[in-house]
Formats: sequence, structure tokens, C-alpha cells
Amino acid sequence: MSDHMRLERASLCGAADALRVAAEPLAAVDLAEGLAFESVTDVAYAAREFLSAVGRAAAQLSQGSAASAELVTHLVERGGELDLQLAAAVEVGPSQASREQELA
Amino acid sequence: MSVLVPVLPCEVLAVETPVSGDPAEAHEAEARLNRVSGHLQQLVDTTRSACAHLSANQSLTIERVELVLSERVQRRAQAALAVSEAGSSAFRSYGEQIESIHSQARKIEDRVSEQLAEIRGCVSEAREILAMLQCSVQLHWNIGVPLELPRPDADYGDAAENVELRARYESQWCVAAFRWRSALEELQLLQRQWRSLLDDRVRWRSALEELQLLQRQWRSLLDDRVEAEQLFVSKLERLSDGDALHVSDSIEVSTVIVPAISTSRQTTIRVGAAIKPGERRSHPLLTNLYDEYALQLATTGKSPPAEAVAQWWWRLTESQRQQLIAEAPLVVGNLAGVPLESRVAANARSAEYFANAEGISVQEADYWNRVAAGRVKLVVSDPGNSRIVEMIGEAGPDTARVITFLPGTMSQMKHFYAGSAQQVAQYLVTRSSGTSVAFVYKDGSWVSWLGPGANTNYDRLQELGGQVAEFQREVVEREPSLQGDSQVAIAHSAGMSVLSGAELSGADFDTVMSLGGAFALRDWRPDPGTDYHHFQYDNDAINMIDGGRLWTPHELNDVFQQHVFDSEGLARFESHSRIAEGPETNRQALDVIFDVMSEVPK
Repeated sequence: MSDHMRLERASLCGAADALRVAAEPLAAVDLAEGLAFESVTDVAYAAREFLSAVGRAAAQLSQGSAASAELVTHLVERGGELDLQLAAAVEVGPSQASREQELA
Repeated sequence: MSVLVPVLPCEVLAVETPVSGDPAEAHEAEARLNRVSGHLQQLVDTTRSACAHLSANQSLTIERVELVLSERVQRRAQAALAVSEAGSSAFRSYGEQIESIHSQARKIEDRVSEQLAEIRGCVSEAREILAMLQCSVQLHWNIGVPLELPRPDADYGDAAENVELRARYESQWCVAAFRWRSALEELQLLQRQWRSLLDDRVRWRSALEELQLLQRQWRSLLDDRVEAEQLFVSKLERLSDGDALHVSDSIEVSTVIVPAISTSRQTTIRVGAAIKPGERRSHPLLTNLYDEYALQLATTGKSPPAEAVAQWWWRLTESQRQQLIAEAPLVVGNLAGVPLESRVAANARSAEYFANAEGISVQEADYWNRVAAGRVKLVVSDPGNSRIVEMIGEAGPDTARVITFLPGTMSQMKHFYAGSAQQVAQYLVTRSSGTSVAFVYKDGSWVSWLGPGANTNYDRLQELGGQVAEFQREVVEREPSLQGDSQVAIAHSAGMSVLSGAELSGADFDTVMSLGGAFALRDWRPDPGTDYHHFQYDNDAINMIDGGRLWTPHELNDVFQQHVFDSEGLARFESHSRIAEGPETNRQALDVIFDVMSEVPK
């Protein structure tokens, strides 16, 4: 498999870092914190639900791109022999892939 | 002669206010969403750039990561960005709308203050003139003075008496004549002043008309506010329901990165919904009952008729009844036709579940524990649907009267947990020494200030009244131990409007007591067989809706016997709440209420 690989390390590391940086501010966004919308119950409920949903979506996207960056970094750092394992890990999720790497 | 002219704009404007909430919060939410939008845009750009970098490399990992980034993260980030921007725009519009409403409201309040000050000046002027004329004409600040100068109470000088005085007291006559002349001159002066005041009256009338106009504008602002809220909520709900925020479906499946992203709907699961076994209508023992009325249930949501339920319950064995109470308490506890005692037992059973629900307050848990232990009795209990009717006292052979208590605007489940909704009923039952039973009633969402349940929504008030009448008919009047007892209805504030709706729907009470009652519905007519009483503190804020527009118990004094208590300097809104409070703050009123209630013969 290594024969088929052509990894431009600098370019990949730059892309991975950029993904991490872009993901960071979206990681833990509590958009509704401190906003009570007092005494208007329907509005308070709808506003908080919406802001929470946006916050969760942002956090999900953040984790998705950070995890992708993590996989790319793994590949660059550990070399081509991990390609198959990591490619499979993309299918099952980076967290599990990380655990498998640790076990290995 | 005392004339009270309101001082504050809130005393003449509608009780509801459009000046709630904080526009700054809406704008803060908008700013936060703008920041998220910026970050999402950055993520979209970065992902696009990263994909370009990755595509130059050849490996299975890179290929798949690139696919995830371009097909899922980037696409979903763009969708989330669009939603975030639209949400930001919605918050901005809402913030601007309520800002504008606040600003207009402030202007109205300022102008109302000016007009009230003008009226106070006019009233003061009129009082001085009338006092000099020895007139006892009642002045009303909001009606104005009559066009013609009122006649004095006593005539100045009697001719026959003057002749007698002249003969008997010559010297005194001179003095009297002088005083008479002076009085006449003074009278002429006062008449000129009065004419001058008539000119001022135009100014006064225009101030009143201005006030009425401002009140209409205020009402219109309230409508604007409700409309703004409804538009804003529907916008957010549409945005929340869209696919854009449900990122997990496409990312989680392939990469298992984090749990499901949008659980907003799931997080709103109500407490009652957690009791799956308790709400089973598919329980084998319920099948016979519900099969027959399945179509009715499906089309109208209505349970089987109380009569049918009563017959079905009667046919069950005791063991089957106990099984149902244990296994389907949420159904049995709220089913009209099931005897009160069994409903109480079923609701005690379901309270065991409610007490252990996640996320409830210590106070709520304590309440449900008391229900589960039998120290509090509920004949309706479904907190997931805001339904609760607490029975205070024991129904039995000694019961002489049944009290149905309807709480005021904004009464919620938490007021039952805190015990505040039950204070009046609790006091009356306790003082009755076992001869009274009370039902403190809030079956579903109660009257509110705004929205579809607003205390100005007459259809909703009538609907709630219909439910109260049904409760009286199918629960209270069906209970053998309560049949023949005197029926007393007590309602606080907007509960009085609901109560009038109940009477319109056929509910029949021996005595109706309004505690600071708001108004009766327009079609309501007093029942000739019912005694009506109204209790309030002398400065109750509810009197602000007097003025002939609505049928307020305070103004219907030919129907409602009035019982007015000294507010002892308490503010108007506090006085309005106080009349429905317990003996610590409301003892004198409660004692009179008790005396009136006790006069009702069995």
C-alpha cells in the first residue's frame, strides 16, 4: 500500500492545522448562556431551543473537522503502513480508531 | 369629598404591558449568531482549502477524509451557516420590533403622565369651587364635571326668616345683610370662575379623549407585540425543524464523531411522557372500554362518557381495579366516571414516578412524594399536560358543601407545588371542621397574559369554563358522597371570567364568590338562584378595568354583594394578589368569606 502513497507532508500538516484552528471557536458554543428573554415564555423557549440547536450543530461540525485533521496528522506522522487502518477508521470513527491505535 | 386621580400611567393603561423582555437580549443573540456565522464561514473556507491540499495526495485515508470534509462537513457547515444567518436576522428583526414597541410605549406613558397631571389640576380647581358653594356633588376624575353649575345644598337666605330677623334683631340684620350681600357677591364671583372653568373643561375633555386614544394605542401595541412574538417563534421553529441543524445524520453515521446533534425535540419530553406503563390505553383491562369509543378518541380526543366508564368500572372485580390503578394510573387517575377515591389512589401511584423524574425541583419532588404518600389528594394529575386538580378535605357523610376554586391569571403547576394556589381553599376547609371539601382546579394550561391563553381571549375563557362545567357535572356531581351538598364556586382574578364561562355552560352553584374577579363574559347572566359576592381590597389593581367596557364584579354591584377591605397602604397589585392569599396576610377577608360560605344552607 505504501507504494501507492504520495504524501506531501508540509501541505497536509498545514491543512490539518488550518482545520483545527477553524474548528476551535465552534467547539463549545453556548449561545443561550445568560439570555433569559424574561417573562415571554414562548419566545424564551423557542429562542433557547434554536440557539442550543445551532450551538450543537457548530460543536458537531467542529469535532468532525478536528477529527479529520487528527486522522491526517496521524497518517503523516506514522507513515503509510497505517493507511488501511486509518481509512477503515474513517468509516467507524476517529475516536475508536484512536483507541485501536493506542491498543496497538 | 375625596377624588382619587391616578398618578402612574400603569393605573390607567391596560394591565398587560408590551414592555416585557429585553431588546438587548435579542440583539445579543443576534451578535452571537453572527460570530458563529463568521466561524462557520471560516470553517467552510478552510475545509474547501484543505480539500484542495488533500486532493494532491494519494492514500486511502486522505481520500476518505477528503470525502468526509467535502461531502459532509463542508456542505453541512454551509447549511448551518445559512440557518445561523437567518436566525441572526430573525433575532435582529425581533429585537428591532420590541425596541420600537418599547420606545412607543415610553412615549405613551410620558404623555399619559402629562394628561393625568392636567386632569389633577382641573379636579383640584373644581373641588375648590364646589367647596365654596357648599355643594356635595360627587366628582369622578374620568367623567368630568357637569356643563351647568350645580345648585348649592342649602339656599342662601329665606325671605320670611329675614323679615322676622329684621324685626327681632335690627343690628344683627345689618350684619346678616352685609354677609348676605358679600355672599351674593362671592356667589357672582364664583359663577364667573365657574364659567371660566367651563372653558377649561374643554381642555379637560380633550385630555380625557387623548387618554382614550392612548389606551387604544396601547392595546394596539399589545397586539403588535403578540404578533411579533408569534412571527419570531414560527421563524425559529421552521429553522430548527429544517435539515441544516441535523448534522449528525450524515456525519455521525460515517465517522461516529459525536452523538446526535439535534435533540431539541427530545429534550422537551414532558415528565408525564416518561410514564409509559401508566398511560397505556392498550392495557388488557382497558381494551373493552376503549375499543367501543376508539373512533371518538381518535377523532375528538375525548375519553369515553363518564356514565359508560362508571358502568365499566362497576363491572370490574376489586382485584382488576387494583391492577389498573397499579398498571395504568395515568389513565385511571384522570378518567371521568371512576370514583374519586380510586382516582386519588391512581394519582398517588403515578406520583411515585413523577417524584423520581429527572430535572425537577426539590419542591416539586416533595409535592409528588406527599401525593404518593396520600397526604395530598389529586383527582386530576397529568403534569405533562399541565393538568392538576387537588382535593382538600374528605368527602363523606358529614360533607355539607363543596368548594370549587379557580385560581387567577398565570397560575401554573409550580403554584400547586408551592401550595400558594390552595391557600384560600385550605383555610376554608380547615375552618369547616370536616364539613367542606374543596377542589382547586387547573385542568390544563391556564389563563395567561399573552398568547392563545390570554385573559382577553374570550373563546379560550369560554372553553376553560366549559371544562369546569364538565368537571362539575361528571366528577363532582356524580360522586355519591357529594350529592345534595351546597355548591360554592370561588374564583380569583381571571378565574372569575372562566367561572362565568362555566355558568354559561350549565354549571350551577349556590354561591359564587369573586376574589378580585376580573370580568364576566359578555353573554353571562346571573343565575337567579345563585348568591353572588365580590371581595377585594379597596385599591385592587383589577379595578383599573372598570369603566363600563367589561362586566366587572366590582361594578356589577346590583348582582355581586360587595365586601371591600382596607388595603392598609399595600400597593395595588399586591392587594390584588393578597385577596387570594392565606390567613397570614389575608385573615380578615378570609373570615368574611368563611362567614358568607357558612350561611349557605345545605
